[in-house]
Amino acid sequence: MRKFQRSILAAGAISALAIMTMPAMAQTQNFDEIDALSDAALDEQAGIQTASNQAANGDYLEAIATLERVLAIFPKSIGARTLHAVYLCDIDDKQGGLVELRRLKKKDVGEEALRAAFLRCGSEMPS
Amino acid sequence: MKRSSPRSTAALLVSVSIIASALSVPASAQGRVEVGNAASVVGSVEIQASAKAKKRKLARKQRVAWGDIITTSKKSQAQLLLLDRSSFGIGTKSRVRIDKFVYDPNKDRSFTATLLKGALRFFSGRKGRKQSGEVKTSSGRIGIRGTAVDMFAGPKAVKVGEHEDALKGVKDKKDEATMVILRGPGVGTAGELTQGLVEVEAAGVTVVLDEPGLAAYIPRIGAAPIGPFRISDRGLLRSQNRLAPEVKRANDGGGLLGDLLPVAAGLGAAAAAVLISQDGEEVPGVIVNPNDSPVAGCDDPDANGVC
Repeated sequence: MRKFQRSILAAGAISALAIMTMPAMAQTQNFDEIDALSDAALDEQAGIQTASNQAANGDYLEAIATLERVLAIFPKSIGARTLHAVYLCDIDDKQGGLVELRRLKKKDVGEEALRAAFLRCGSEMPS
Repeated sequence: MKRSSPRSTAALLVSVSIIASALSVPASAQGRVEVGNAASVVGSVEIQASAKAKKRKLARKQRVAWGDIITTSKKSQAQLLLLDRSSFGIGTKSRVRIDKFVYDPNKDRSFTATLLKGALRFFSGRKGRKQSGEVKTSSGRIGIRGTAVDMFAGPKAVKVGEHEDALKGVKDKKDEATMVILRGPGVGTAGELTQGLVEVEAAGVTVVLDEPGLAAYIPRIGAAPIGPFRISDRGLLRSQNRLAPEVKRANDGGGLLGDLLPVAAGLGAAAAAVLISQDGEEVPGVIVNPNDSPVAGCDDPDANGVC
């Protein structure tokens, strides 16, 4: 009888522990993930790579948000500015993407790359 | 050794259950409900737990919770990243309160926030079965479904809309106006994203924005929203400048951060790889140091968006 009672108590304690720790673990994992995303933007190239990976997975809105974190630290990043414009076009905000592309210069982006970006936005590069 | 009675065993089991239940109660019942982090902080940004609470400096990766008010100063901005990867981009001289955020990875996500003043950009995060959001301003309510949307309240709303043909002759109050611009995703989006949709409601009238570039404007408290109308390139540029002041400032040639931090040595492999022509041919990116030739930016572009 006593063994039985102890078993029940032990099972109850384990269940309680599981209930206590599972949501906390999931929460911690989620926070670790968003902290890692925040850290990725501290390095310009790592941030751009993160955004590219997100876009490749179809997470374009997350990719644009990542580039905005990169640009907050590296506001002159031509790569981030160009990709930001291109991803806006990819989510069908072609007007917004083109407004940003027009602020870039051929000599900064490279003529062919800038032309490709305009084409991706469904437009010819202005001469 | 004393034997425990069935009654004491039962009492112990009940105690264990009560402790477990108490610890599994939603955090809301226990106090602070943390829903995300400050993923990016530039300049002077403060956080306070309520309108009467003391303001503290917001640090990158600091947790944000229900009821927190984030305030940005001049030349400052922040991005909050929520647990479902949704984000709030907060522009310069802005004030935003996170009223509520509920996220179940297997079910749905909902949030309510208040844009007290300034500029706010929202991007929805991970796809869920049901996603809803609501942003309140002094003059209206903005209902959001899986989308990218720019919102302005107060003087910034007036500034973004001041050259829009659709708003000529409108009598607005600069501390009460609200401007909303849907940015996407549109029907032609990549990535199988949910098409964005925004409902702007005030004075019992609802304006629906369902295409990128459509906007609505509430001129003052008690007035119905004007719209939908297509925002001009000039308006979009003004919007962008208010949401990302550092990018504007740096490329105007006055960026302090750009001078202090290492800058891009080029477009970057990741960015270049993205610029693939439609026939799959990769286009090389020929890059020079962007610091050598900062792009001219301006706050007041002409009607074509040209500075």
